[in-house]
Amino acid sequence: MKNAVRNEFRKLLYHKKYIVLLIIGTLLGLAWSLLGRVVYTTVSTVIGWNLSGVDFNTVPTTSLSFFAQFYLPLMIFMAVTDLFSAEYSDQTIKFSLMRPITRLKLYTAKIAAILVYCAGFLAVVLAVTLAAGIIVGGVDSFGVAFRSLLGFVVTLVPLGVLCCYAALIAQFIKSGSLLMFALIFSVIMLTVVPILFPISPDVLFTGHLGWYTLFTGVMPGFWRTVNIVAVLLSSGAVFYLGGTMLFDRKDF
Amino acid sequence: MILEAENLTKLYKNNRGARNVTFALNPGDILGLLGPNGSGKTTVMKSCVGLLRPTSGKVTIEGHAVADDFERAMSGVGALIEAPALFDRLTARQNLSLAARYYPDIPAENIDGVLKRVEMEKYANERVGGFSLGMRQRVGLALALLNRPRLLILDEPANGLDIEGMVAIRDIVKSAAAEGCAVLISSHLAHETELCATHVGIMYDGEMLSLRTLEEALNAAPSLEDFFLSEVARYRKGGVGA
Repeated sequence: MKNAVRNEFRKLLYHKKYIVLLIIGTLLGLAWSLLGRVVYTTVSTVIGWNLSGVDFNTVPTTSLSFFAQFYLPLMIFMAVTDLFSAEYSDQTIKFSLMRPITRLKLYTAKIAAILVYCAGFLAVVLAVTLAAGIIVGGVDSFGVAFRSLLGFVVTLVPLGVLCCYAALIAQFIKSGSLLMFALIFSVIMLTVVPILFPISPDVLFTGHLGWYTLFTGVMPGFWRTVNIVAVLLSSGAVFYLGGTMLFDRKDF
Repeated sequence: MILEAENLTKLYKNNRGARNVTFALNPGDILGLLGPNGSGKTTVMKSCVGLLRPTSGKVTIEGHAVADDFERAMSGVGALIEAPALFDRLTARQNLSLAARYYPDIPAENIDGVLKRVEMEKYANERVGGFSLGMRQRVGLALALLNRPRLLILDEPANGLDIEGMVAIRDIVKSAAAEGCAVLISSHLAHETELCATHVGIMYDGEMLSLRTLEEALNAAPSLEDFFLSEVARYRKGGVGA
C-alpha cells in the first residue's frame, strides 16, 4: 500500500505543473504576507490608525483562505483528473490494475497521494510564510505560530473530503476536460445553492472548506465543532465508499 | 495447475463477449487462443487478470480465485493485454521501476535484465512517448516479464512487431515455458500459434469451439489454419465444439 501511494505520488510529480504550481503558491503566500505587512505599516504609521489589536497582516493564515477555498481545490481537481480520468481515457489504469494490488488499495492510494501532495504544499507555504512573518514581524509569539500550524493542519480535513468527492465524480466521467468542468461547476453550485434556496450551508461540505478559521481565533463552541466534523466525516465516508464501489465494479 | 477457468462467461451490453469458456494450464503449457477479431480472446484474458468482472464462472490462479484473493492470484502473473499500458511521459526504465514497486522482491537488476531480454536496453532512458508501436510492444513485454511470472498472459503480442521482433517474442515465450512458466497467448495468426503453442484453443463467437494439444490439432488437419477453418465450419453447420 505504501509503495502504491509512492507510485501515485511520483506519477503526480512527473507532471511538472504540480511543481510549478507549488512554486507559484509559495510565492503567492510570501507576497501576500509581505504585502500585508506593507499595508499594516502604511496604515499604522503613515495614516496613524491604531492597528495594535489586529494581527492578520503577516500571519500565515492570512493567505490560507485563498489556498483552502480556491487554489488547492483546483489543484485537487487537476490531480484527480490526471490520476483517474486521464488514466481511464489513455488506458494506463491497466498498468496498475494488472499488478498484485486490490482496486480498493489502488483507489485509496490515489486519494492518499493527492492528500500527501496537499499536505506538502501546505507545509511549504506554512514554512515560508511563517519565516516571513518572523522576519518582517507579525508572528511574534508561539501562540500565533501554533494557531497557524493548527489552521494549516485542519485544512487537510475538508480537502480530503473534496478529494473523495472529486474521485467519486471521476468514476462517471472519462474525459479529463469534462471532469474538470463538472467538478468546478458542481462545487460552485453547491456553494451557491444555500444562497438561493433555504438550505443551511452547514449541511454541505463545501461550506466548510475554510473551517480552519474556527481553530485560528477564539475556539468555537463544542457542539458547533462536532456538527461540522460530523458533516465532513459523513460526506467523506459517503463519497469514499461510493467511489470505491464504482471503481471496484468498473470494467477496463 | 497454474491457471484454471471454469465456465467463464463475460457478456457485454450488446450480448457479445465470451460464454462458458473452460480451460486449464499447467506449468510449461503454452495455450494459443486462436480466433478472429471479436471472438472473445481478449475478453477471456482480461477476465483472467481481473480487468473485467466475469458475468459468471470462476478464474483461479495457483489456487487463488482472482475475484476473492486478487493480490495472491496476481503475484505471479505477467500480462500484456491489448496495447501496452505505458506512461508516455516516463522513460522505459521509469515505467518498469514504477511497476516493480508493486512487487515485494524485484531487484533493480531485473529491470536491466528484462530490458536486455526484449532488446530495449539502448532505449531504456528514452521517453516511451517517442517510441514506435513495435518498441512500445517490447516495453510492454518487458513489463510482463518483470516479476519472473509463473503465468504469462499475452494478447496478440506480435502486433506492430517486425519479423525479428516476432521471432524474439516466440523465443521468449518458449524459453519462459521451458522454465516452467505457463503461457496463455492469443493470436489471429494460425501460423504464429503453430510455431510456439503446445495447446490450441479455437475461439469463435465468444465460445471455445475446440481445445486440443497442438499435436492432436495437427493430426486432425494438415495445418492449424485448416484445423481452425474446419472447426469454424462445423460450428456454423450447428455442430458442437469439442
